[in-house]
Amino acid sequence: MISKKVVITGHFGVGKTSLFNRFISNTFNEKYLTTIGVRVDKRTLVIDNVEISLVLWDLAGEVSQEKVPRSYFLGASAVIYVFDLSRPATFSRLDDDIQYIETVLPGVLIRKVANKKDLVPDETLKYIHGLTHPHVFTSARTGENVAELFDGIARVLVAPHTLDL
Amino acid sequence: MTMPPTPDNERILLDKLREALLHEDRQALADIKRILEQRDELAQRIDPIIEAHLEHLKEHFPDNYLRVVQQIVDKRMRQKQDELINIIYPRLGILIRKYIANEFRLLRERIDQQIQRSPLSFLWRSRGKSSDQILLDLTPSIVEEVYVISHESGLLLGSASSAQTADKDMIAGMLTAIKSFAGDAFNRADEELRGIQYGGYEIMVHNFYNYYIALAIAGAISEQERDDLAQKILTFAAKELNYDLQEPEPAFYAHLQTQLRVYFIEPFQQLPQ
Repeated sequence: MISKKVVITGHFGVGKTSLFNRFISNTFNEKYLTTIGVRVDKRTLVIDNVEISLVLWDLAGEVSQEKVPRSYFLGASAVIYVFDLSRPATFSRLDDDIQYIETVLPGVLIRKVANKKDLVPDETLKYIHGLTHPHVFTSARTGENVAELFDGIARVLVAPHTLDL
Repeated sequence: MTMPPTPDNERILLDKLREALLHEDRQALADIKRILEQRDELAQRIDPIIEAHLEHLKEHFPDNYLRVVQQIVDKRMRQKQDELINIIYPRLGILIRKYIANEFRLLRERIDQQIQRSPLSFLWRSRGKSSDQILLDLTPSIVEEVYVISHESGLLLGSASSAQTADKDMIAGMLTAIKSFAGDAFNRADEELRGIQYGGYEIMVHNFYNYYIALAIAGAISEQERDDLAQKILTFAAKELNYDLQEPEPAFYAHLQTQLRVYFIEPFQQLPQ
Protein backbone atom coordinates (compact mmCIF):
# COMPACT_ATOMS: atom_id res chain seq x y z
CA MET A 1 0.00 0.00 0.00
CA ILE A 2 1.16 3.52 -0.78
CA SER A 3 1.16 6.17 1.98
CA LYS A 4 1.17 9.88 1.15
CA LYS A 5 1.19 12.91 3.38
CA VAL A 6 -1.42 15.54 2.56
CA VAL A 7 -1.40 18.89 4.37
CA ILE A 8 -4.56 20.97 4.85
CA THR A 9 -3.77 24.61 5.46
CA GLY A 10 -5.22 28.09 5.23
CA HIS A 11 -6.52 31.04 7.26
CA PHE A 12 -8.28 30.71 10.64
CA GLY A 13 -11.84 29.39 10.58
CA VAL A 14 -12.03 28.55 6.88
CA GLY A 15 -13.23 25.00 7.56
CA LYS A 16 -10.01 22.97 7.35
CA THR A 17 -10.93 20.74 10.28
CA SER A 18 -14.50 20.45 9.01
CA LEU A 19 -13.21 19.21 5.63
CA PHE A 20 -10.84 16.88 7.50
CA ASN A 21 -13.69 15.48 9.65
CA ARG A 22 -16.05 15.22 6.69
CA PHE A 23 -13.50 13.17 4.78
CA ILE A 24 -12.21 11.04 7.68
CA SER A 25 -15.45 10.30 9.54
CA ASN A 26 -18.18 11.86 7.38
CA THR A 27 -19.22 14.13 10.26
CA PHE A 28 -19.79 17.87 10.66
CA ASN A 29 -19.84 19.88 13.86
CA GLU A 30 -21.54 23.29 13.91
CA LYS A 31 -19.36 24.42 16.82
CA TYR A 32 -16.12 26.16 15.95
CA LEU A 33 -13.18 24.61 17.80
CA THR A 34 -9.83 26.05 16.93
CA THR A 35 -7.09 23.56 16.07
CA ILE A 36 -4.03 23.74 18.28
CA GLY A 37 -0.83 22.84 16.47
CA VAL A 38 -1.80 20.01 14.16
CA ARG A 39 -4.10 17.01 13.95
CA VAL A 40 -3.14 13.88 12.07
CA ASP A 41 -5.42 11.15 10.80
CA LYS A 42 -5.67 8.93 7.77
CA ARG A 43 -8.07 7.33 5.36
CA THR A 44 -7.39 4.62 2.85
CA LEU A 45 -8.84 4.84 -0.67
CA VAL A 46 -8.69 2.37 -3.54
CA ILE A 47 -7.94 3.95 -6.91
CA ASP A 48 -7.77 1.69 -9.98
CA ASN A 49 -7.12 -1.33 -7.74
CA VAL A 50 -4.27 0.48 -5.96
CA GLU A 51 -4.64 1.11 -2.22
CA ILE A 52 -3.48 4.55 -1.12
CA SER A 53 -3.41 5.76 2.44
CA LEU A 54 -3.81 9.53 2.71
CA VAL A 55 -2.23 10.68 5.96
CA LEU A 56 -3.81 14.09 6.52
CA TRP A 57 -2.16 16.85 8.54
CA ASP A 58 -4.77 19.41 9.54
CA LEU A 59 -2.74 22.47 10.48
CA ALA A 60 -3.79 25.25 12.82
CA GLY A 61 -4.97 28.29 10.84
CA GLU A 62 -2.62 31.19 10.24
CA VAL A 63 -3.19 34.55 8.56
CA SER A 64 -0.10 33.92 6.46
CA GLN A 65 1.47 30.62 5.45
CA GLU A 66 4.87 32.00 6.38
CA LYS A 67 3.75 31.70 10.01
CA VAL A 68 3.10 27.97 9.71
CA PRO A 69 6.08 25.95 10.97
CA ARG A 70 7.98 25.01 7.83
CA SER A 71 8.61 21.51 9.15
CA TYR A 72 4.87 20.72 9.01
CA PHE A 73 4.99 20.97 5.21
CA LEU A 74 8.08 18.84 4.69
CA GLY A 75 7.58 15.48 3.02
CA ALA A 76 4.04 16.35 1.88
CA SER A 77 2.90 15.02 -1.49
CA ALA A 78 -0.08 17.38 -1.68
CA VAL A 79 -1.23 20.60 -0.04
CA ILE A 80 -4.88 21.64 0.22
CA TYR A 81 -5.11 25.41 0.61
CA VAL A 82 -8.57 26.21 1.98
CA PHE A 83 -10.25 29.60 1.98
CA ASP A 84 -13.69 30.76 3.08
CA LEU A 85 -15.96 32.06 0.31
CA SER A 86 -17.87 34.18 2.83
CA ARG A 87 -14.76 36.00 4.16
CA PRO A 88 -12.66 37.80 1.53
CA ALA A 89 -9.85 38.31 4.06
CA THR A 90 -9.16 34.55 3.87
CA PHE A 91 -8.22 34.73 0.18
CA SER A 92 -6.65 38.17 0.08
CA ARG A 93 -3.17 36.62 0.41
CA LEU A 94 -3.91 33.61 -1.77
CA ASP A 95 -1.23 34.19 -4.44
CA ASP A 96 1.49 35.01 -1.89
CA ASP A 97 0.59 31.96 0.19
CA ILE A 98 0.59 29.62 -2.81
CA GLN A 99 3.93 31.04 -3.93
CA TYR A 100 5.35 30.47 -0.45
CA ILE A 101 4.13 26.84 -0.39
CA GLU A 102 5.71 26.28 -3.82
CA THR A 103 8.98 27.60 -2.44
CA VAL A 104 8.89 25.26 0.55
CA LEU A 105 7.77 22.26 -1.50
CA PRO A 106 8.81 22.68 -5.14
CA GLY A 107 6.61 20.70 -7.51
CA VAL A 108 4.09 19.70 -4.84
CA LEU A 109 0.48 19.10 -5.86
CA ILE A 110 -1.55 22.10 -4.65
CA ARG A 111 -5.34 22.28 -4.56
CA LYS A 112 -6.99 25.66 -3.94
CA VAL A 113 -10.28 24.89 -2.22
CA ALA A 114 -13.09 27.44 -1.91
CA ASN A 115 -15.07 26.21 1.09
CA LYS A 116 -18.46 27.16 2.61
CA LYS A 117 -20.13 27.09 -0.79
CA ASP A 118 -23.48 26.73 0.99
CA LEU A 119 -23.13 30.21 2.52
CA VAL A 120 -22.81 32.33 -0.66
CA PRO A 121 -25.11 33.00 -3.63
CA ASP A 122 -24.22 31.87 -7.14
CA GLU A 123 -23.30 35.40 -8.35
CA THR A 124 -20.72 35.68 -5.57
CA LEU A 125 -19.34 32.26 -6.49
CA LYS A 126 -18.84 33.44 -10.08
CA TYR A 127 -17.18 36.62 -8.94
CA ILE A 128 -14.80 34.85 -6.55
CA HIS A 129 -14.07 32.21 -9.15
CA GLY A 130 -12.81 34.96 -11.44
CA LEU A 131 -10.59 36.31 -8.68
CA THR A 132 -9.14 33.12 -7.24
CA HIS A 133 -9.56 30.29 -9.80
CA PRO A 134 -10.04 27.57 -7.18
CA HIS A 135 -9.70 23.92 -8.19
CA VAL A 136 -12.95 23.09 -6.43
CA PHE A 137 -15.84 24.68 -4.51
CA THR A 138 -16.76 22.65 -1.44
CA SER A 139 -19.10 22.64 1.49
CA ALA A 140 -17.96 20.69 4.51
CA ARG A 141 -21.42 21.18 6.01
CA THR A 142 -23.31 19.48 3.14
CA GLY A 143 -20.37 17.35 2.05
CA GLU A 144 -20.54 18.74 -1.50
CA ASN A 145 -17.38 17.95 -3.51
CA VAL A 146 -15.43 16.84 -0.42
CA ALA A 147 -15.07 13.21 -1.52
CA GLU A 148 -14.31 14.40 -5.07
CA LEU A 149 -11.53 16.66 -3.77
CA PHE A 150 -9.70 13.88 -1.93
CA ASP A 151 -10.46 11.31 -4.61
CA GLY A 152 -8.92 13.62 -7.22
CA ILE A 153 -5.79 14.12 -5.12
CA ALA A 154 -5.45 10.38 -4.51
CA ARG A 155 -5.84 9.74 -8.23
CA VAL A 156 -2.95 12.08 -9.08
CA LEU A 157 -0.74 10.62 -6.34
CA VAL A 158 -1.48 7.05 -7.40
CA ALA A 159 -0.83 7.71 -11.12
CA PRO A 160 2.96 7.06 -11.12
CA HIS A 161 2.34 3.74 -9.33
CA THR A 162 -0.36 2.50 -11.72
CA LEU A 163 2.11 2.80 -14.62
CA ASP A 164 4.04 -0.09 -13.04
CA LEU A 165 1.04 -2.45 -13.01
CA MET B 1 58.97 -35.80 -71.54
CA THR B 2 56.26 -33.19 -71.48
CA MET B 3 52.63 -34.02 -70.81
CA PRO B 4 50.09 -33.24 -73.56
CA PRO B 5 47.94 -30.13 -72.59
CA THR B 6 44.63 -31.87 -71.69
CA PRO B 7 42.31 -30.43 -68.98
CA ASP B 8 43.24 -33.30 -66.58
CA ASN B 9 46.92 -32.75 -67.05
CA GLU B 10 46.54 -29.03 -66.48
CA ARG B 11 44.74 -29.68 -63.19
CA ILE B 12 47.47 -32.09 -62.01
CA LEU B 13 50.12 -29.53 -62.88
CA LEU B 14 48.25 -26.78 -61.08
CA ASP B 15 47.94 -28.96 -57.95
CA LYS B 16 51.66 -29.69 -57.97
CA LEU B 17 52.44 -26.02 -58.39
CA ARG B 18 50.05 -25.10 -55.52
CA GLU B 19 51.65 -27.78 -53.31
CA ALA B 20 55.12 -26.43 -54.02
CA LEU B 21 54.16 -22.82 -53.41
CA LEU B 22 51.88 -23.20 -50.38
CA HIS B 23 53.56 -26.09 -48.55
CA GLU B 24 55.17 -23.92 -45.90
CA ASP B 25 52.10 -21.76 -45.38
CA ARG B 26 49.90 -24.82 -44.99
CA GLN B 27 52.32 -26.29 -42.45
CA ALA B 28 52.31 -23.02 -40.46
CA LEU B 29 48.50 -22.88 -40.59
CA ALA B 30 48.25 -26.46 -39.28
CA ASP B 31 50.63 -25.57 -36.42
CA ILE B 32 48.55 -22.52 -35.47
CA LYS B 33 45.35 -24.58 -35.60
CA ARG B 34 46.92 -27.23 -33.34
CA ILE B 35 48.03 -24.59 -30.85
CA LEU B 36 44.59 -22.99 -30.80
CA GLU B 37 42.86 -26.32 -30.27
CA GLN B 38 45.28 -27.59 -27.59
CA ARG B 39 44.48 -25.71 -24.39
CA ASP B 40 47.84 -26.46 -22.76
CA GLU B 41 49.84 -25.24 -25.70
CA LEU B 42 47.67 -22.14 -26.05
CA ALA B 43 48.03 -21.38 -22.32
CA GLN B 44 51.78 -21.86 -22.53
CA ARG B 45 51.98 -19.11 -25.12
CA ILE B 46 49.25 -16.72 -23.95
CA ASP B 47 49.68 -16.85 -20.13
CA PRO B 48 52.99 -14.95 -20.08
CA ILE B 49 51.42 -12.21 -22.22
CA ILE B 50 48.40 -11.91 -19.94
CA GLU B 51 50.58 -12.00 -16.83
CA ALA B 52 52.81 -9.30 -18.22
CA HIS B 53 49.74 -7.22 -19.07
CA LEU B 54 48.24 -7.72 -15.60
CA GLU B 55 51.54 -6.78 -14.01
CA HIS B 56 51.62 -3.65 -16.10
CA LEU B 57 48.01 -2.89 -15.16
CA LYS B 58 48.80 -3.35 -11.46
CA GLU B 59 51.67 -0.93 -11.67
CA HIS B 60 50.01 1.65 -13.87
CA PHE B 61 46.34 1.32 -12.91
CA PRO B 62 46.17 4.65 -11.06
CA ASP B 63 47.74 6.49 -14.04
CA ASN B 64 45.24 5.14 -16.54
CA TYR B 65 42.06 4.54 -14.61
CA LEU B 66 42.11 6.58 -11.39
CA ARG B 67 40.23 9.49 -12.92
CA VAL B 68 37.57 7.20 -14.39
CA VAL B 69 37.10 5.35 -11.09
CA GLN B 70 36.92 8.62 -9.18
CA GLN B 71 34.27 9.89 -11.57
CA ILE B 72 32.22 6.70 -11.11
CA VAL B 73 32.54 6.85 -7.31
CA ASP B 74 31.66 10.57 -7.23
CA LYS B 75 28.62 10.00 -9.41
CA ARG B 76 27.49 7.03 -7.32
CA MET B 77 27.98 8.98 -4.09
CA ARG B 78 25.90 11.87 -5.39
CA GLN B 79 23.15 9.52 -6.54
CA LYS B 80 23.09 7.54 -3.31
CA GLN B 81 23.83 10.32 -0.82
CA ASP B 82 20.95 9.43 1.48
CA GLU B 83 21.81 5.74 1.38
CA LEU B 84 25.43 6.45 2.28
CA ILE B 85 24.47 8.72 5.16
CA ASN B 86 22.03 6.10 6.40
CA ILE B 87 24.90 3.60 6.43
CA ILE B 88 27.39 5.93 8.12
CA TYR B 89 25.07 7.61 10.65
CA PRO B 90 24.42 4.61 12.95
CA ARG B 91 28.06 3.52 12.77
CA LEU B 92 29.20 6.96 13.86
CA GLY B 93 26.69 6.74 16.69
CA ILE B 94 28.12 3.41 17.83
CA LEU B 95 31.66 4.83 17.84
CA ILE B 96 30.63 7.93 19.77
CA ARG B 97 28.70 5.84 22.29
CA LYS B 98 31.72 3.59 22.82
CA TYR B 99 33.94 6.60 23.42
CA ILE B 100 31.50 8.22 25.85
CA ALA B 101 30.89 4.90 27.68
CA ASN B 102 34.61 4.47 28.13
CA GLU B 103 35.03 8.02 29.44
CA PHE B 104 32.15 7.46 31.88
CA ARG B 105 33.69 4.19 33.06
CA LEU B 106 36.95 6.00 33.77
CA LEU B 107 35.09 8.79 35.56
CA ARG B 108 33.17 6.23 37.65
CA GLU B 109 36.40 4.50 38.58
CA ARG B 110 37.96 7.79 39.64
CA ILE B 111 34.92 8.67 41.77
CA ASP B 112 34.93 5.20 43.36
CA GLN B 113 38.60 5.59 44.19
CA GLN B 114 37.97 9.00 45.75
CA ILE B 115 35.11 7.56 47.83
CA GLN B 116 37.25 4.60 48.94
CA ARG B 117 39.91 7.02 50.14
CA SER B 118 37.35 9.19 51.91
CA PRO B 119 37.06 8.76 55.72
CA LEU B 120 33.23 8.56 55.23
CA SER B 121 33.36 5.64 52.81
CA PHE B 122 31.78 3.28 55.37
CA LEU B 123 28.52 5.32 55.02
CA TRP B 124 28.28 4.57 51.28
CA ARG B 125 28.98 0.86 51.77
CA SER B 126 26.37 0.45 54.50
CA ARG B 127 23.53 1.70 52.29
CA GLY B 128 23.44 -1.28 49.91
CA LYS B 129 20.87 -0.88 47.07
CA SER B 130 19.54 2.56 46.32
CA SER B 131 15.80 3.22 46.54
CA ASP B 132 15.78 3.86 42.76
CA GLN B 133 17.31 0.46 42.16
CA ILE B 134 14.75 -1.26 44.41
CA LEU B 135 11.91 0.48 42.51
CA LEU B 136 13.40 -0.52 39.17
CA ASP B 137 13.61 -4.14 40.31
CA LEU B 138 9.91 -4.10 41.25
CA THR B 139 8.70 -2.66 37.92
CA PRO B 140 10.73 -4.06 35.06
CA SER B 141 10.46 -2.11 31.82
CA ILE B 142 8.97 -3.61 28.68
CA VAL B 143 9.23 -2.34 25.11
CA GLU B 144 5.61 -2.46 23.96
CA GLU B 145 5.89 -0.74 20.60
CA VAL B 146 8.55 0.27 18.14
CA TYR B 147 8.26 2.58 15.17
CA VAL B 148 10.56 3.61 12.33
CA ILE B 149 9.32 6.94 11.01
CA SER B 150 10.41 9.22 8.18
CA HIS B 151 11.71 12.51 9.65
CA GLU B 152 10.08 14.96 7.28
CA SER B 153 6.81 13.39 6.20
CA GLY B 154 6.10 11.53 9.43
CA LEU B 155 5.10 8.54 7.34
CA LEU B 156 5.56 5.16 8.98
CA LEU B 157 8.30 2.98 7.48
CA GLY B 158 7.85 0.08 9.86
CA SER B 159 6.48 -0.87 13.25
CA ALA B 160 5.94 -3.75 15.66
CA SER B 161 4.01 -4.00 18.88
CA SER B 162 3.12 -6.50 21.55
CA ALA B 163 -0.52 -5.44 21.71
CA GLN B 164 -3.23 -3.81 19.60
CA THR B 165 -2.88 -0.04 19.70
CA ALA B 166 -4.33 3.03 18.04
CA ASP B 167 -3.70 3.57 14.35
CA LYS B 168 0.04 3.40 13.86
CA ASP B 169 0.12 5.83 10.92
CA MET B 170 -1.66 8.38 13.09
CA ILE B 171 0.78 7.82 15.98
CA ALA B 172 3.72 8.25 13.59
CA GLY B 173 2.25 11.49 12.19
CA MET B 174 1.41 12.97 15.59
CA LEU B 175 4.79 12.03 17.04
CA THR B 176 6.48 13.76 14.11
CA ALA B 177 4.24 16.79 14.54
CA ILE B 178 5.16 16.95 18.25
CA LYS B 179 8.84 16.68 17.35
CA SER B 180 8.48 19.46 14.78
CA PHE B 181 6.52 21.58 17.24
CA ALA B 182 9.16 21.18 19.95
CA GLY B 183 11.91 22.11 17.48
CA ASP B 184 10.04 25.18 16.20
CA ALA B 185 8.77 26.30 19.59
CA PHE B 186 12.20 26.37 21.18
CA ASN B 187 13.88 27.44 17.95
CA ARG B 188 16.67 24.91 18.35
CA ALA B 189 17.49 23.55 14.93
CA ASP B 190 20.54 21.74 16.31
CA GLU B 191 18.55 19.86 18.96
CA GLU B 192 16.05 17.02 18.61
CA LEU B 193 13.30 15.67 20.85
CA ARG B 194 14.69 12.57 22.51
CA GLY B 195 11.77 11.37 24.56
CA ILE B 196 8.32 11.91 25.99
CA GLN B 197 7.37 10.75 29.48
CA TYR B 198 4.01 10.43 31.17
CA GLY B 199 3.59 8.50 34.37
CA GLY B 200 5.20 5.11 34.13
CA TYR B 201 5.29 5.28 30.34
CA GLU B 202 7.99 6.62 28.13
CA ILE B 203 8.53 7.14 24.43
CA MET B 204 12.22 6.97 23.68
CA VAL B 205 13.24 8.69 20.45
CA HIS B 206 16.47 8.07 18.60
CA ASN B 207 17.14 10.32 15.60
CA PHE B 208 19.00 9.36 12.45
CA TYR B 209 19.58 11.21 9.19
CA ASN B 210 16.23 10.94 7.43
CA TYR B 211 14.29 8.75 9.84
CA TYR B 212 13.93 8.20 13.55
CA ILE B 213 13.15 5.23 15.77
CA ALA B 214 10.67 5.54 18.63
CA LEU B 215 10.22 2.95 21.37
CA ALA B 216 7.18 2.96 23.64
CA ILE B 217 8.36 1.60 26.99
CA ALA B 218 6.13 0.67 29.92
CA GLY B 219 7.63 0.64 33.40
CA ALA B 220 10.61 2.34 34.99
CA ILE B 221 13.76 2.20 32.92
CA SER B 222 17.23 2.32 34.42
CA GLU B 223 20.11 4.20 32.85
CA GLN B 224 21.77 0.90 32.07
CA GLU B 225 18.65 -0.37 30.27
CA ARG B 226 18.37 2.91 28.40
CA ASP B 227 21.96 2.57 27.35
CA ASP B 228 21.43 -1.04 26.24
CA LEU B 229 18.36 -0.07 24.21
CA ALA B 230 20.19 2.81 22.56
CA GLN B 231 22.96 0.42 21.61
CA LYS B 232 20.42 -2.04 20.22
CA ILE B 233 18.78 0.74 18.18
CA LEU B 234 22.14 1.69 16.68
CA THR B 235 22.95 -1.93 15.83
CA PHE B 236 19.51 -2.38 14.28
CA ALA B 237 19.87 0.78 12.20
CA ALA B 238 23.34 -0.18 11.01
CA LYS B 239 22.18 -3.63 9.92
CA GLU B 240 18.63 -3.12 8.74
CA LEU B 241 18.24 0.50 7.66
CA ASN B 242 21.31 1.10 5.52
CA TYR B 243 19.23 1.78 2.42
CA ASP B 244 17.89 4.74 0.53
CA LEU B 245 14.61 5.01 2.44
CA GLN B 246 12.93 7.49 0.08
CA GLU B 247 11.38 4.85 -2.17
CA PRO B 248 11.86 1.44 -0.55
CA GLU B 249 10.82 -1.79 -2.28
CA PRO B 250 7.49 -3.23 -1.02
CA ALA B 251 9.30 -6.29 0.40
CA PHE B 252 11.36 -3.96 2.60
CA TYR B 253 8.34 -3.09 4.77
CA ALA B 254 7.54 -6.73 5.58
CA HIS B 255 11.19 -7.48 6.33
CA LEU B 256 11.50 -4.40 8.54
CA GLN B 257 8.41 -5.36 10.52
CA THR B 258 9.77 -8.87 11.15
CA GLN B 259 13.16 -7.56 12.22
CA LEU B 260 11.66 -4.91 14.53
CA ARG B 261 9.74 -7.67 16.27
CA VAL B 262 12.84 -9.86 16.57
CA TYR B 263 15.04 -7.05 17.92
CA PHE B 264 12.70 -5.17 20.21
CA ILE B 265 9.44 -6.97 21.00
CA GLU B 266 10.27 -10.67 21.31
CA PRO B 267 13.13 -10.31 23.85
CA PHE B 268 10.67 -8.68 26.27
CA GLN B 269 7.96 -11.27 25.68
CA GLN B 270 10.41 -13.97 26.80
CA LEU B 271 11.03 -12.25 30.14
CA PRO B 272 9.19 -13.54 33.23
CA GLN B 273 6.37 -11.01 33.87
